[in-house]
Amino acid sequence: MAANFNALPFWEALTPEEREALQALLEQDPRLARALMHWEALQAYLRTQLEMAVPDRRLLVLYALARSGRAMLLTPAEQDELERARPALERALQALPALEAVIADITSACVDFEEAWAVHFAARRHRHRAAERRSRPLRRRPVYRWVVRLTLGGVVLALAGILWWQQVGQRVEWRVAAGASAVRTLADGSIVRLVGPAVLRYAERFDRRLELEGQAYLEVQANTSPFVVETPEAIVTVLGTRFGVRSTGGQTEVVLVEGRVALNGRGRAETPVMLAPGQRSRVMAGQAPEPPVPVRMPEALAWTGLHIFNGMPLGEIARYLSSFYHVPIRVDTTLAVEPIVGTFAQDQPLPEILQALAATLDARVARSPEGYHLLPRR
Amino acid sequence: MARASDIPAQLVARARQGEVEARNLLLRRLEPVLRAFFFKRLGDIPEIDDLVQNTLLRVHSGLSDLKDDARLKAFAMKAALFELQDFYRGRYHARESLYDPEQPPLVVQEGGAQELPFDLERALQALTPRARRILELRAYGYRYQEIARMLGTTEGAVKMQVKRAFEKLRQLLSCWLL
Repeated sequence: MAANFNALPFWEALTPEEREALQALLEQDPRLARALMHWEALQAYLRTQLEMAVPDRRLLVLYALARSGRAMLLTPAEQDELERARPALERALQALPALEAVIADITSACVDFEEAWAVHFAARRHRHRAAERRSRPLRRRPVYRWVVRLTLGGVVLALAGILWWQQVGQRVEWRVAAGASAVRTLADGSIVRLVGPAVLRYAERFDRRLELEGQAYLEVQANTSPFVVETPEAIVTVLGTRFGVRSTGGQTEVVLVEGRVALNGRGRAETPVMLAPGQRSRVMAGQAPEPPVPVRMPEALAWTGLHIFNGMPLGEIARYLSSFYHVPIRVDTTLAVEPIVGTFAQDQPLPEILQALAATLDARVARSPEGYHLLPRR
Repeated sequence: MARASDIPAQLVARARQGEVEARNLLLRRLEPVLRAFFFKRLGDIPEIDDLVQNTLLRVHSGLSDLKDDARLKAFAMKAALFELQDFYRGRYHARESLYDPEQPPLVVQEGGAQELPFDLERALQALTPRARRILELRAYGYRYQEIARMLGTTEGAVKMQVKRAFEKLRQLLSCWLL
């Protein structure tokens, strides 16, 4: 193995032989050894910071559950424990932004667990029902049993209603400051990217209804119940889809990337305006929505901090990226008409975006003093 | 979505009261769910068996504290999530092993452990917020591939950021050391 520094931050990927070779190099080359020592000191420092900020990761799990609308999964003792720890956890989230990503990861793990449970027990239930149907003996049940059952059922429903009302009544408020953005997975698996300044509110027992002030980009999980976003000016009703909503200066703007959404003004009784992918509509306070107009997706949703391409030809994408990064990008004519669907973070380096685009089309990227050139591989 | 009654509350109650057969049956029913969950989160790694067993142990030892028999699903989910967090925490912590791919190579330090002659916090401030977030997630216990999934990008992009961060810190620290 060459005596370069590149392998040091990625030692975990080395084979035992490569590690042995690295070990020998470390013993010979003090510069290499010092660089690794500093790197490890930095990792240890960050670990200590994290340990101090979150000494008990259990509490982070409880916090993530409550924040994603699953507070009902906590026992009263856990709820008390969480309330005591909440100020310290919120300070930790402010100090270490990576913890927001950890919270989102825990929420996504909840969705995975719920899926694993549902898949396993749905299969079992199906088998059991079939077996029960075969083996249940025929017999008459006395009428009084049904009276007792109906009464008990009524009591249970009333209690469940009270509980539901209490939990729906409790709201989660999520704020993102100006200039920042954050991503969160909700209890139904839908993903929200909140772009500050913005506030999002929803019930702790998540009911697929959001109240938004500011800007958000949403990827909504398909579900039989509608997903509703309310802004001060408008009501957006969707099934599974991706779209951006901005509510600023007394106006709400909706840009649809995929799927279908219905848009209506708050307090308006007209038939909602239906948006198709690639369209935008605006609603002023107290007004009906404007008729949808076609827009170019990357520019219309540039405020999300993402480059969103939804079937745009590669030639147009190159022109857009070229103007965004102020670097000339040329595309071979055979590739220019190829439509691309994909999303990239705007802070991702341009060469990586171009490599990903090229990989999609089995093309290659050539770098020259004049800029970049995307060419067929052969 | 499945309800908690997928495992009968009676079975949970019997297990909670210490009936060995009921406990074993309950744990056997939970095992495939936990296995599927850890597999989905971490992929096909050798530690899956340990994670499943540890979670079952958590469920087993916490069962007597379960107040409501119908809440087993929530109880098992929390046990699995706690176990996952412990797994991340333990990934990069020192363990006794002759060869452990998760531990860095040994650096021979003359005169043993010594104070670093620079401020690590100052060094970290020189990084971009994204690079710092990646390093924090790595220190939390995530792999680069997992970090890429969390940040909605590719492993290559994450490693590129780490490489740049490493290079920047190396230059910065060597300047300070002069």
